Amino acid sequence: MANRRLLFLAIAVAVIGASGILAVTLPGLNNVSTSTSALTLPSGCVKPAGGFLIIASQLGFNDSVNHGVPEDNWPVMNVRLGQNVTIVVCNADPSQAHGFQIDHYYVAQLVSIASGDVLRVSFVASQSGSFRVYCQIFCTIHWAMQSGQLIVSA
Amino acid sequence: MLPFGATVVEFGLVTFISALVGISLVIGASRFLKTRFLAAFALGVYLWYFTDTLGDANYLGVNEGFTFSAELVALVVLFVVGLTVFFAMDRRMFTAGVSDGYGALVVGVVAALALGLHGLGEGADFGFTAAQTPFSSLFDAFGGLSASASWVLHKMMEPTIAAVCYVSIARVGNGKASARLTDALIIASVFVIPSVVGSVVGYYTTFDHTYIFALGLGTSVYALARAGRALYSPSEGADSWLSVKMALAAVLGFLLIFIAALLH
Repeated sequence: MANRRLLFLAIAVAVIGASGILAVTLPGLNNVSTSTSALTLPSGCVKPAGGFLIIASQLGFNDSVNHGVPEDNWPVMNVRLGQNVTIVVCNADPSQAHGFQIDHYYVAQLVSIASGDVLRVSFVASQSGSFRVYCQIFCTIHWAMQSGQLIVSA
Repeated sequence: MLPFGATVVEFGLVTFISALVGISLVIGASRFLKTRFLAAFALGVYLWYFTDTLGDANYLGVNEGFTFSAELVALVVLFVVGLTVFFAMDRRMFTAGVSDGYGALVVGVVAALALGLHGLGEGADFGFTAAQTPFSSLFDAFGGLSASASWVLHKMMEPTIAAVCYVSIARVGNGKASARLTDALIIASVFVIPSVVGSVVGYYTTFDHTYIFALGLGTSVYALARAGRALYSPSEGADSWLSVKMALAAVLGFLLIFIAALLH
């Protein structure tokens, strides 16, 4: 039993060690772009006429990490009471799914957008007020996707 | 962009230490708590774990309806394969009386791997975000103190299910403390290895990690089934409040990991 424990421990240490060595020796290989212009948008990811386009990526919703979230609201969509609202949400993040919810107007727990998919949301702004727009999936950029806002004014 | 070496090392260390603390707490608690209560606690933790991982797996593509797209089929197949392979590996799991034949460490390690495989996806997400972020600090890139605390608490809670699998077989009260610590180190290592490997892969590659979560979701069911054996322990006695106590233990497990998620 002691030998088995030692074997397990040795394997675990070897794998962690190999990962560590890889981590230290391979930094020069990184070629992942951090430019927002390098995003590949899914087909159908087009701003609807009179509506809104939201792009989910490693930079949040519409580059929200560069717009003061979570303290500030971003993105902010202003509409009129009674207006037909159309929002196209694109997941341009190649690595993970993202969610999209709007308090009161679009709250559906099973709505998630796979990498490269496009979600089209339409509704009538029937109640005035300020409504939070957010992602409901615990992705790595989750914190930056909690501060969107839909403002419906009379 | 965060530097690769520091990112992976910090991520691995934080995840490992968190897991070790969680596992050690369960092993320590098993000295004075009946295993069935720990199993109920693990059940509560698992309920949230499953929901959380299901979201990461894009709900197995259920939003696509009956399209039978390649993505939907792949997600479902990976879930089924993960579940089936781990159940098939442990042929004594549902056999009364001989289930302890593998030994506590083996069962604990397999359960840790079953739970930890979803970490391959989490690590890949982490690595990819680290490579893409405009921030220069790990804290800022992942949402600051609150989100970091959430990660630490999650990684403490999740492997407690594997620890319950372990203590349900090991006679911790009679064992040497050093042997238990070694076992805890091994179980924590196995739980964390997929996360570390994932972070390395995710930093350098671009692919959809959803499929890994579907696989990990399936494999994790094994850990629930294994830990669940300890829910029913006639040898531990019973009283009229047992069901209520078990419910409270399950609620405690669920609420603790839920509270951790609130910080996210």
